[in-house]
Amino acid sequence: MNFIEYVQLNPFQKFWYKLKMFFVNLPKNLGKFFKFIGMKIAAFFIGIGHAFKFYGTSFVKGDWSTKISYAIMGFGIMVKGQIIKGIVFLAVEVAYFAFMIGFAWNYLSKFLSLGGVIAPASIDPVYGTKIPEKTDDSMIIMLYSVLAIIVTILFIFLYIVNIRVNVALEERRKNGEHINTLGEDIKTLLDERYHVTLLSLPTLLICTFTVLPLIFMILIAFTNFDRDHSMGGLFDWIGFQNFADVFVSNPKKAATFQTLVGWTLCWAVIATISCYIVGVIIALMINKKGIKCKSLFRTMFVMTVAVPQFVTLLLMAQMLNDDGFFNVLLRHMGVLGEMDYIKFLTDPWIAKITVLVVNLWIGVPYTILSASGILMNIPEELYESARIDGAGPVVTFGKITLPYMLFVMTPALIQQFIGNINNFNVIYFLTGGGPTDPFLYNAGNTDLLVTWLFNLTTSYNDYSLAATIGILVFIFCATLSLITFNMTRSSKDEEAFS
Amino acid sequence: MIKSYKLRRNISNAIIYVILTILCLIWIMPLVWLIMTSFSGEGVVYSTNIIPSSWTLDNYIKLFTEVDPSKVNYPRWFLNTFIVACFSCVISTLSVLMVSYTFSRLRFKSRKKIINIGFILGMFPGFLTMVAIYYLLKIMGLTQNIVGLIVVYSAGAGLGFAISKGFFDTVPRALDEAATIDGATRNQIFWKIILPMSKPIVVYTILTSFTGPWADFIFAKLLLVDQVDQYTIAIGLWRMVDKNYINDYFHQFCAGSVIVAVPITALFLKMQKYYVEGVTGGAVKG
Amino acid sequence: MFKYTKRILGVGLASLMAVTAFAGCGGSTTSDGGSSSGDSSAAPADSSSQQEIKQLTIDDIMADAQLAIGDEDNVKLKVWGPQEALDLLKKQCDDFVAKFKELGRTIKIECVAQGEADAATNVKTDPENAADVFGYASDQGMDLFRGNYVMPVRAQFVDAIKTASIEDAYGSVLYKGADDAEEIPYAYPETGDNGYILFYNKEALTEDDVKSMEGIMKVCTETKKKFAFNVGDGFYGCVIPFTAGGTLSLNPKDETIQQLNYDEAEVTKVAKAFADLCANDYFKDENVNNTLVSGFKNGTHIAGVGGSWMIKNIEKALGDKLGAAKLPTINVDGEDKQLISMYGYKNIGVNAKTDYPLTSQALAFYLTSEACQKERCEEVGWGPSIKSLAESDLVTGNICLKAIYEQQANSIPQINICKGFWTPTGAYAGYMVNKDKKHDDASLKTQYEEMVKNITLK
Repeated sequence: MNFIEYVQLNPFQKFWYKLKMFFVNLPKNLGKFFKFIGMKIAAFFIGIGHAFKFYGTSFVKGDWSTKISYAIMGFGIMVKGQIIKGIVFLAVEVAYFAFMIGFAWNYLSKFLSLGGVIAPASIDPVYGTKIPEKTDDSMIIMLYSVLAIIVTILFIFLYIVNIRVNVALEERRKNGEHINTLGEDIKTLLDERYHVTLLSLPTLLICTFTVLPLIFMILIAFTNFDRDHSMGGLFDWIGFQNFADVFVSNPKKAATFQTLVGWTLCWAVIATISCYIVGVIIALMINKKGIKCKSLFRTMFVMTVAVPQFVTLLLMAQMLNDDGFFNVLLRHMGVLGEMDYIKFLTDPWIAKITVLVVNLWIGVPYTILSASGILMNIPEELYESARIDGAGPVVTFGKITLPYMLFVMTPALIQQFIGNINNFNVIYFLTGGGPTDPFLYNAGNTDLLVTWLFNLTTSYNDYSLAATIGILVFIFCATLSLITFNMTRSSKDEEAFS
Repeated sequence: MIKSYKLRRNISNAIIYVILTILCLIWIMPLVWLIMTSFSGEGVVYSTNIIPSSWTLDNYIKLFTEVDPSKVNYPRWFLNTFIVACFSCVISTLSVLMVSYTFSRLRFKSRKKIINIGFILGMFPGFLTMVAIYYLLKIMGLTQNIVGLIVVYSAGAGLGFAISKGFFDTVPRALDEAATIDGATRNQIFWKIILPMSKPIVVYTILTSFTGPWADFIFAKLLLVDQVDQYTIAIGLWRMVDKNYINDYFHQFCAGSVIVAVPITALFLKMQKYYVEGVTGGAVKG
Repeated sequence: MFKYTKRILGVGLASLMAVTAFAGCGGSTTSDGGSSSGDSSAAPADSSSQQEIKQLTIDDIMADAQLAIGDEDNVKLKVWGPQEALDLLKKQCDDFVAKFKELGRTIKIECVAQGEADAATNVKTDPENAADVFGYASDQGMDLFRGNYVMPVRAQFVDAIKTASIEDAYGSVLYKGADDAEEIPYAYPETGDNGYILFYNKEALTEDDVKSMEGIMKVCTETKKKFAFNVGDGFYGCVIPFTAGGTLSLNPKDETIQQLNYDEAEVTKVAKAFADLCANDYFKDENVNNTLVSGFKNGTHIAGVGGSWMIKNIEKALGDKLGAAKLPTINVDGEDKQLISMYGYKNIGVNAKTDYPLTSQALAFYLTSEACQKERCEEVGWGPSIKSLAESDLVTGNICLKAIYEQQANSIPQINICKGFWTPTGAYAGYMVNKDKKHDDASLKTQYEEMVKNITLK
């Protein structure tokens, strides 16, 4: 296909063409990808080399105050007139060293061993009662060490900024340019450097409560922190053992992992597609011309979105019980005999179908909401010209409505797919992962990877295994979303409206 | 010809009405059952009747009168959740809007890379790292109380920028340029021009971040372990259907659920329009 | 722990003098061998090499604050107990506080509802924020002991507990840690009733009917009513291997692995008997915690196997019609075999991270003392772990408790159990009573092998 042909395609076809080409070119692109990474790594080291050269020459060429700034941060900045800014830099340096020496070094020094026994067990001389041994808390060592490393990286960054500011100021002074006062500096934060202002607080929060725990979890995956190693006690590094366990070396864990990956993917695909199809069909029916009470119908469906999910799910779990509402209803209707019941949640296969159906009940209203919005956005001219060409409703649906909806909703669908992989609520509240399966390692037939992870953490204290699964889930989701994100992004111009 | 076309349309419409009505009934049934059970005076978890044989208001009254601070304290839970929801709503809304405006409107070094990183991190459900978060909050002394919950709910909010960034992308850039020429700073543009123009997405963000704490269960359970008077509604209600409580509290659970569901449903229906505009505006162009 | 040592040093001198003063006296009583159970000044056997420890009774410590809690004052404790007994727990804690107030010490105790199953998990997740004193079910004991989450019982209380408790109840708190010379108690036995029995509707079933599974199933089939027995849950399902004479132990090489002492042929016979009798519509393998109370109230169920924790609710549902008995027999190859059940205990543990170890130990000791157990039995119906109480009218006068202690004679104590035991056992038993499954010899054999494999796999 050449460029001209490509341009003539409609957006929907363009997208599918891209998708096809993506898989066709996958091997080549993977090769490129690794080459790219290799180059990036090389570039990184070259960059470091350049940086050292830059700071070296700046040191040699710089005036005396710049030189002192290499040891005492902010000194040159103070001398060059930005006193408060300089003091801030100095304070950062003092605070950093105080933090490292007075506090963090205690933990950082034990990072490689993760601590040891402080005092052995002993017998209390008076009561004869045993006093257990006292050990370091490996968890705390790890957490503070990670914190110390992050703080160090931040410090290095600020150190570099300090030098750059120094060099820039020196330059300005040499050229006789204006040096900003503190007030002027602050003003730029509301305009040219407004992104710094807006991003700093969210970034700080995200780094502390998303990135730091993430790093921490990755580290835990390389330890033997499980229920034989108590919380607040010692555990050790064991390298890739957990990953090996999950894939091959521990047959039960490996079997469980494979089974759950299979079911999780199966669940995510079916849940996403079924919600989409049913949702779109209902939306089409509601939005069909000549149907009255549109908003009444829509409201009815949307009610279920509005009621908090855990309420409806806990309720459903009770209703689907062997003696719950649905079985009672079926008995009253005569579908089931007096003694019969459908094992909605306790039979492995029926439970899987049940969770999918309940998910439909929960997910469809969302699709209806967004699909309604999109349907109203389809340009009317498209339909009119189709009608003039003599196309019936089925053809217009196949040729116009469906492609348009798919095109618009594909990114959302993929988001939903990932959301379903991590769909904790439906499974946890309905079946709790059950019915439990003896063949699986602390898991049940409807357990997704994430509910398994949750149970391993909260009820089985298998922290390192949970962390390993968490990493694998994360890698999978991140790769998937990055691919689709960039594919859909690049097909559209972000600034089309400017 | 025309007549038959009309007839056909009427028939197909009639069929659609029937299907829609049936579907609506299916969708509404559990909610109706919830409301019915909340007024039921039967006192058993699993009734053999479809419609309760006796009716009472007791389940609602007991929720507010039979309060035991170490077991079940519904009014307190409601208040807690409301407080958490308010605080986290303010913090999350601000961070989401700030981040998405920055990514959509401001141009700076490594912007693309930062967006990508944010996007990947946003894919990551926070509860996967719950042990780490727990320890982190413990060091800060924020476990066992609702302050920790507020922090957890609002800290990662900035990562949910995708939808609102998509929305901001649709606001014409010419506006910014005109304002810049008039001497407005970016700060002023954000507060005085973009935000007022983006009412749907602002409302949408407020709505989602306000309703979040009413529904979250994982972190509430993780952080509040035994602090019954700090519980939020979600974990409190969950506790009521726990095996130790269910026989005594099932109907109160239903009543409690209705009380939570009513305001949130009302709020949601009122804001539905904005929700649709927010989602589709972001999704279509996002 | 440093705090612990320092506090103890304070009491040290006084106690040391007391010990020396009474050492001779204590020794002579022991050699007499005729010491009454109440007076327990005998030293434990192993401590011959160490200094002798003066044994104390609850009366001793409730009379002398220094002896009981050393220098601890302005104490704040948190206690976890299950919600159904919380009011009583509060009352008992208040009594304890009042007593020590008289003795000039200030103690504040906060009681929080926390089910026994969650308690242990929550202690393990965050010991520092957990309760100082908490009740837990004995199957959680191993994890708590092994991880040093609980503090061993103060050596001076050991004799009092040992002599007073039912043997198996005391056995459920024993553990030999890595650096212990012998098994020592790590917790205080609280109840002796954490097992399950048969509840039935007296109007539908006679005392003769409930003696055997066959009798119950016959009536159920005739009247089209249900008999609920949640064998799909390992806690109940283990009746099949246990009735066949199976027992449990830990793998001597690795105590995280379960060892099953089962005889395959016997287990299969019992399983077959269950399959023949129960794989039908009237035998309900369902979660009895949720359904049994409703079932009795609605009249859909006439019998069910349920735990001691359900007594109150079932009493409410059945009223005068309530009947209770030990588990029935089942006919295996023409021989009526008594069903052997799993039998657990509830114990009180002292958090190893508590700031007030002496007060916590004293409180746990107090809460498990005879007076408190008696009160608990009278008010919330919990069966005591103290031998003399278990044999008194208090128990024998109550049909449910009586049945429970009768069943205790036919049970395997719930100790030495690994986490991996429950699910495969439940799956095995659940298979047997499922009418949709094949019950020929070959599939019974595969099921048995799968169960054993899944339990003993690490």
